[in-house]
Amino acid sequence: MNKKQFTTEVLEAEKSLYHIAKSILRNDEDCADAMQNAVLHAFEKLHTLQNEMYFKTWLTRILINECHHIIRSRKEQVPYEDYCEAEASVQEEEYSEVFDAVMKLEDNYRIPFVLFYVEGFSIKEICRILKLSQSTVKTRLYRGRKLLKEKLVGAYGYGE
Amino acid sequence: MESKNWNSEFPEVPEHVHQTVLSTLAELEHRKVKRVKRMKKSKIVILIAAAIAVLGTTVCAAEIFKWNNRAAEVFVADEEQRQKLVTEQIATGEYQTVSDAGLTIQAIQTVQDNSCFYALFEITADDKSLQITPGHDMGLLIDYPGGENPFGYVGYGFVDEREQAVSNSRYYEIYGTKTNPQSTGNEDLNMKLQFTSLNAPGGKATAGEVVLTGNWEFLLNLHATEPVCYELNKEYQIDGCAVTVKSVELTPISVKLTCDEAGARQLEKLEGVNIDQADSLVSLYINGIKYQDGTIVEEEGYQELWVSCENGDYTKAARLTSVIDTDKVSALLVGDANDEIALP
Repeated sequence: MNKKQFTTEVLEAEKSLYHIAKSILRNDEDCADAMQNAVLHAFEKLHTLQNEMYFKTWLTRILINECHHIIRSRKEQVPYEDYCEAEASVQEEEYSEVFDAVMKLEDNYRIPFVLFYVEGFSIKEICRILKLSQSTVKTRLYRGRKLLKEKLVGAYGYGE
Repeated sequence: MESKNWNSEFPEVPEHVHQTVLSTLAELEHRKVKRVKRMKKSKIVILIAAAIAVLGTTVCAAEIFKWNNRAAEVFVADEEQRQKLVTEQIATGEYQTVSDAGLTIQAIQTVQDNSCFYALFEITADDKSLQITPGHDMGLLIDYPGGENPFGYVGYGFVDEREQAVSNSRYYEIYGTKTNPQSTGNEDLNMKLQFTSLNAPGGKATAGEVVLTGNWEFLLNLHATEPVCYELNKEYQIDGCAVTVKSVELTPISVKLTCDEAGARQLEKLEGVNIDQADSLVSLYINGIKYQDGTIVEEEGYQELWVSCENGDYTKAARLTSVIDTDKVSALLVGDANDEIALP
């Protein structure tokens, strides 16, 4: 893959990368940092990509890692729960109820949920991205969906 | 719920985020793309021939090959079963060791059949102060010289802390799942594994900083395993539903079950799940293997390798918790009720 192809692929994946970063970090500044780091890191490691077909999956893995790096660095400064609450209170009202409900899912359920339902990754791809077994991914999707349904019905009256 | 356009519920990329991406891409103009030299096919063929010549001796050496304890833990089997797997070339002892850049990697053992693959390595740093933790990772490239990648999923990593104390040496495992039923052919599979780096612990999804780089190459010849096949085309009562089971394929380490889709849809409705959205059918979890003498080998039914629902068939493959004797199996026990799928 040459530089031009790399640029094209990154721009095509941009929206998806933003959604995934957003679902982990919430804060747009942090999302921009994570995306920037992921793009630089991916370019540095491009020679390790075995199959260009898996570029997006591979880049997503790198992005999630960068997001976790940012969370870890925040944790060192303030308790992560406080950080999340502060971010949520600042940005919550700007988004749709469904988005807010998704964001209230626990990490374990939210990330597979966003990858599968929002970004259309297959189960196999999610296994590669999150390094989880198929059965674990399926279970998390199933539980995530159930929890989300409860949240939507309970808090916003969806489906009643 | 599944049909909702979830993507539209998520915010658009803000302009300043987009500008950050653009400026990052512009910055790449000043950087070079690293390239990796690919081996020529002729060189690969020679290496494979050499490897097969060496590895071929493992067949004759079945009697002297002893299972590694870690592999024995992963594939629960008694001594007799272990030897049988060696004789049938499902379990193979490896005798390859490569040292480079202060790191020695030893291929220890592979176990495989037509659905899954497992390889065990031991990775040791010369520098004893370099502690290899479960969070460390290896840069790994996999090639299938002369063939296509038959694996839909390959997972790998160091064994966790509960299994092994932290030191400068740690077991490293690779698991592969063949997701394409067509790929489960009867030909041996050659795999070239190339480790490229040892990486420090990173996040959940990818490797951390590179600790050292090098080149550690291994050629594995995975023997094709013939499963025991039962063409059933018979109706069974599963969770109160009449489900036609078309076939069952057994190897000592995995099982493949094919039902008609209509039956699977009944179970789907009953369980209130959606198999098109990757939900599992609990009523088809394989929770036990019944032998002809009435003995039951309990299984952890959720160990699915892959599931497909197409062309009117619902097919699932699962790895077995314990190694089984395929000659003695009389039935599969499925679901919470342990419904029997009797085999002739």
